[in-house]
Amino acid sequence: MAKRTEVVLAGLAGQGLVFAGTILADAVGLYEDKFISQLGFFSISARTGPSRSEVVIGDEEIDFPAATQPDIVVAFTRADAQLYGARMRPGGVLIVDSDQECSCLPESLLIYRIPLVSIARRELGEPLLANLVALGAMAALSEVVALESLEQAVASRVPGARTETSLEALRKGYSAGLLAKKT
Amino acid sequence: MTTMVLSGNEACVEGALRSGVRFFAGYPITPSSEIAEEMARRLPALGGKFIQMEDELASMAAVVGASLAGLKAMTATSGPGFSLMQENIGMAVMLEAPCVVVNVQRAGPSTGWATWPAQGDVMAARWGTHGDHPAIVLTPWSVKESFELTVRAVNLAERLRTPVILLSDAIIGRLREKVDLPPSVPVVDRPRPAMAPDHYRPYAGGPDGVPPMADFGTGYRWYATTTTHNERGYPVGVDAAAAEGLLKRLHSKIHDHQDEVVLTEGRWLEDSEVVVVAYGSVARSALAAVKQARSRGLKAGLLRLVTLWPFPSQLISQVAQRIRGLLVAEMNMGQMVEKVREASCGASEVWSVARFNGQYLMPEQILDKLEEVRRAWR
Repeated sequence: MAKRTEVVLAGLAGQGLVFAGTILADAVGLYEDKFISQLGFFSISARTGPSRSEVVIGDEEIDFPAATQPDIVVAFTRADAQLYGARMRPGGVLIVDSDQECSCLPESLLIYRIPLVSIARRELGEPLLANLVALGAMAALSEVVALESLEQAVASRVPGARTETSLEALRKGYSAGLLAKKT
Repeated sequence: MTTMVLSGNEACVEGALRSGVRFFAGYPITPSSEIAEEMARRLPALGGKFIQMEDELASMAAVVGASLAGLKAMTATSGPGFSLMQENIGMAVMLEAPCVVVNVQRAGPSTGWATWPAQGDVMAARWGTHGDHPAIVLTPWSVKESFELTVRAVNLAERLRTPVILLSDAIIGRLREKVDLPPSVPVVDRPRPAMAPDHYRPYAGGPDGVPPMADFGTGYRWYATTTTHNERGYPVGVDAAAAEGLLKRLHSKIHDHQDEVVLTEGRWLEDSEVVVVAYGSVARSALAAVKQARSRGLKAGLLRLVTLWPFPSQLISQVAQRIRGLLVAEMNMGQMVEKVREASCGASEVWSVARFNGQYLMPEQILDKLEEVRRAWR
């Protein structure tokens, strides 16, 4: 069977999850030469409704382009951690925003609690950069994407003055991921 | 070749522009809006025109007008907008105005559930406009095919002087995948008159049923009317033979070119007991399900409809005679399954797996149904 890795980025509309999926898909598809598919699912509300990106990564052309049993999940809310945590492949990597009180998550998962939104707010002055903090953490905690590929994707997609802060968000997330791995 | 990561909607624009579309009139609607956005951004630089119209009725009217003036013209919409376009799609059929209508399906009826996918418009795409009319409807299952089928839609519209509908859905329109786009594509232009303006008969079909089309403003004076007309383009009055001739020609120009129009893809059809029939985004679920079924020892195959209309009845009938069951998978309450049942004509069992709650039909549901079929056959 072809190797297939499924990633879900889940949270609320307005948290930039579709954009984060776009960056991840560009990074892996264009700079790591893998096959990818990316889908965004969201309701009609621009803020606070559920929103998620699903990215499938493979060595071969991808047949079904959505997640069936995710290998890696980033959850920005408790509800998402519980919903997708329960559907994940045993041994999968679940990154949860540590400001969310989450209990009862499956013991079969590698669970990392990282203050994604707090890092974005306190260290970068902008909570909306939590999406890129999460991608940086994912690069540190899994084999799915390299930090350099994410940086390339951000540099080509984020214009002008925002490029540097966006790259900084990736790096802050990467460091937080390394720290979480140690502890 | 250029490697890009594009959405299905973006790939549709790439295909349209490369095949020569230079006019777009539309009214943005989820999940098709990226097509209008991208057209607005790209067309002016190519000398083309983008117009945001007041609604979808006007959008389709503008597309027909641009087509008569000689441009390759397109619009894009979704459910409710598609309903509003139907009257003028009929106008395009009757005037034989080449054009492409993209419908990125979302969950209906009416405004429905705007951001969620469905395949509920397959019959609307065939019969949405009134009267006896032919329809060409193509449905992509990937980003790459969104590009290829848009090119094909533009070319078929020109070749056969007819509206062509590209029936995408919210999954495929929004899906992003890596694609290699060719720098150029085959381009077909509508037949144009070789005779002098005095001898031009705008609706004389010629040997292949497709009349040459003079651009408005080039000295060929002709009357474009949706009233049933004769070869000279004037109302038939009491001439029943002319009325019948027009209708027959409108149908036969599509029917006689089915080889160019009807596309399907089969996998493992040769050694299958049960074949999943699917189209658009659900064909991706079906492919994954069939692969898993085969790994469990089920003799399953996939028949993917790329062209929905004209419906490939003959192929379905041939497949039905060789196998035990057909399973039709679709994101509606069971629309194409009835056409499949009709075409199989009792030669095989016909089963249905349908999902209509705005959620993607998953491979697992198709697999469960295949297991149910297997249990029933024990």
